[in-house]
Amino acid sequence: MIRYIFQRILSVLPTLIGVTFVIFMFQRLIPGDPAIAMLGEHATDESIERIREQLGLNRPLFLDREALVDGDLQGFFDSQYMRYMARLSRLDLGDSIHRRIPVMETLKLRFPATVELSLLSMIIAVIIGIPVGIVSASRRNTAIDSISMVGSLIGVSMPIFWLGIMEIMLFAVILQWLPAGARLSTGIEIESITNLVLIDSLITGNMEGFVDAISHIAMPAVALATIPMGIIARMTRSSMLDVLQEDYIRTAKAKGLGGRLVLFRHALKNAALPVVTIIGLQAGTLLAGAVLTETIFSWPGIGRWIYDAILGRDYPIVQGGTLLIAIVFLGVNFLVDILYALLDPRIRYK
Amino acid sequence: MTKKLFYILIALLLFSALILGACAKEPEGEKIPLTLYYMPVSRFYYPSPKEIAEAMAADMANAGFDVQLELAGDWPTYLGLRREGNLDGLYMLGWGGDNGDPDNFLNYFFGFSGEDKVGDDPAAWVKSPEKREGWYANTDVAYLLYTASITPDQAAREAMYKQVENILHDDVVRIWVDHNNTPLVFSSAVSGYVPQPVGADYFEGVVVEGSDTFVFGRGGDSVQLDPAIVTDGESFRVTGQVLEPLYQYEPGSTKPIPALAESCTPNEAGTEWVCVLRQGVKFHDGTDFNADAVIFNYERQRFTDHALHFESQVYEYYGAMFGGFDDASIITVVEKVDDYTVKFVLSEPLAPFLANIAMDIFAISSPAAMEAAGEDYGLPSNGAVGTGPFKFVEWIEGDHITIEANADYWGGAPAVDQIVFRVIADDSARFLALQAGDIQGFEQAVVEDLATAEAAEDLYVLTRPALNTGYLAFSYKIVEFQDVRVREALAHAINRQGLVDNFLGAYGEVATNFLPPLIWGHDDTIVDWEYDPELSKQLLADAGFPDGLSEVTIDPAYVTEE
Repeated sequence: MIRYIFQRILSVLPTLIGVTFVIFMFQRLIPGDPAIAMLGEHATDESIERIREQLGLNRPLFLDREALVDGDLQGFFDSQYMRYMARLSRLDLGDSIHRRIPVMETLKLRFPATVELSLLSMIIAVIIGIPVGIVSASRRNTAIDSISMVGSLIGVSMPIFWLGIMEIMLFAVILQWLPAGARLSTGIEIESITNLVLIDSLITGNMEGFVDAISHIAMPAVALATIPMGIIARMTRSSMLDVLQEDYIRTAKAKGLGGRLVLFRHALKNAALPVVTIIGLQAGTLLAGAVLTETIFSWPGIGRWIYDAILGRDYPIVQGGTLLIAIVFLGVNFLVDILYALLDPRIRYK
Repeated sequence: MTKKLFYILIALLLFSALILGACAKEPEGEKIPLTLYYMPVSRFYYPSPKEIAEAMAADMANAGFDVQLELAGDWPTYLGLRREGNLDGLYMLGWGGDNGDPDNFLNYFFGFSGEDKVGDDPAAWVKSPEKREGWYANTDVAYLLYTASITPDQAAREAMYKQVENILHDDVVRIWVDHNNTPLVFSSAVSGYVPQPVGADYFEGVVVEGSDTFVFGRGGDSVQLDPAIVTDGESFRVTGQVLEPLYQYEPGSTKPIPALAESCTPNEAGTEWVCVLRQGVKFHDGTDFNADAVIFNYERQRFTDHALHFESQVYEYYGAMFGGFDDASIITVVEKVDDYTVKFVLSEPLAPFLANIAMDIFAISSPAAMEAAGEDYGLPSNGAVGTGPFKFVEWIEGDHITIEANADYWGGAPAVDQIVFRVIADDSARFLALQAGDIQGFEQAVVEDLATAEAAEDLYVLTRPALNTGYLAFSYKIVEFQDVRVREALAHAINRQGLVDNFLGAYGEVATNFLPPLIWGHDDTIVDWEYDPELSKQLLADAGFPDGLSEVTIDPAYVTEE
């Protein structure tokens, strides 16, 4: 098992290096650069040149062939990518080009906001999606089954954008139960420990803060949970149905075990395998969906931040942010692999 | 595993080659389709650029122009292609004024730039086409603009700008399309907000019924709160409340009026300005505002080796407004006459001097605060320290900025205790937040929401007087566009009143000049291009295209001598 974990970790590294390379290259292949994005219509050529020089954008992308001809080995490696990798090896993600704030500093503030939102959405999706799937499978072809499957189909195909706006209209504008956006009301202060406001407010016993935080996160979390919820429900159902037709389930039933026991003790564990995989993959969908959700609900996370950085050609933010997302995605799927090995002994012994 | 990686690499290489291939320039001298590039973002002057482009293309088709619409890429891409002269066809763009002086509109595009000014005799300077939009270069126009910029007499300047507008109109250099008064929507609990055509809006008169806090929603966050090194309106919206320049713009107008200075008077030649400063004013950190503070702020922007002029910062506006940095600066000395009098000595007369120093960029920060913060002045951790009606409190990046009333403000304490600038990126969500009561006012409403706001009892709309112009530009690298008849034909082909009615409604108006009517120098007597598809067809036929125009030619050697 340890060897298996070790192997998995090793295989993640080249992927990460590949990710840095791809992000780096694709950003620079799109036309328009930070200098133009920064100065807009009013830019003069002198200031554009000056910014390019300051940011090192006048250096070659990967390797400087001319320096090699001159025998300048240091100059040969002094390229934009190598500079970036050198900084990265010191865990320095660089400064935002527009705001000049270290990317790491902003990440520390914003990433927890996205994590909080995504985690809560995932929890909602799992605690609703899996039971719905199980009930559907066990009451196959009944009205409950049809209703929940139509419901989950709607969930899967729901445009988050539209759902978010509808939520705001209903709960914030018409009923006035919840605020229309943001993470906290102005004036509410929560001491930051983990930067997850729900947890921080509980730790510090700040009930007012907790209620405020819950009222702000409720709508975006539900909006973001809709798609994974539908997918998980459908996956659980079909996986359960497969397993329920297996011989050993028939044997268990023949032994006279009760329906519930068969369902939860025997069927669910095996049916969980594909569901766990799907949950892992949904981590990516959640992070992608976060861009839209964060935009509609003015949620100060990394989705919207990276999106703005792409438009502003703020390379260090895009590089740092996407790298972090890649790490999270790989990390979640790494956990899924481990979980898989725990659930399915066949994998461990291979 | 390695094999797989190898394939992935090959695929990536192929893909990049494809992208590079697509980016490559069109071969010169070849026929290309007649193309209209539309902007990838909305601006005040073009609220829905794609739909406006479609309507323009439909009008053009009626007059025999078979034009293809193209989206060149996102905003930086679009600006980059334009800058390099690679938007080969017609393209949409516009301009928003910075200081209300006609020079700021016309000189940027049509005046002499650095490399044009060779030799001592301005009349012999040559306007180079390479660096300017559309590659139109007219030395007569550039010389007129230069003369106007050094002439102190406003009536004489006005005549010159009118002359320039007439030349531009007769040449059909661009098709001026619209000016748009931008709407702001407020809850009816709010009163006293003054939208400014130029400079930051006035917040100090705002009163919110039943609340001591005013929450204002906006589409994007400020970039930084050091106004000297930013160019975006969302930064100035905040710095304009915290900091003040020597002059400011009269509420609701573009006229410069005294602020931190009690007066600024030029000598007869217009080469020296003596400014008498307001006494007894203190910065928010308790230090005194005086001549030293003014000199410090101007020198810090001007001298690239100043201790607080950092290499990572771009002082875009100082260079643009005062001719450059260090020795290139038009302001050669800022001299202390006494503690409350400074003298600006200029290398040549600068007619828009007052309009320039009234810009938010030249607001005076506390030297002590700047020295303490160093390179981090204006960042979220430090904010800005000035003399304005509001003090900086906090900035949660991407979320909100809070400022509070300055009880000791020399102009009297503001009515509201606190202002929160909240970022709500999505247009619809911003309007819903207003309806839900999360915010009490915002800018940038979509047309549908405006209709709702006008009808709603608890909301109202204010307009910011238009200081912007949307236009359609020609690439003069295209042989066909070098014929003024073709350009004129296009000008007559587009139903601009129809565009305004459909997309801007009551807020917009058709542009007949580059300068909006609000700015002096705008010439009312110019006879606008009438919407007349038949005349358009006739002009096109006269130019040698009786069957219409669908393909155009790129002229590789084009340099205009017009």
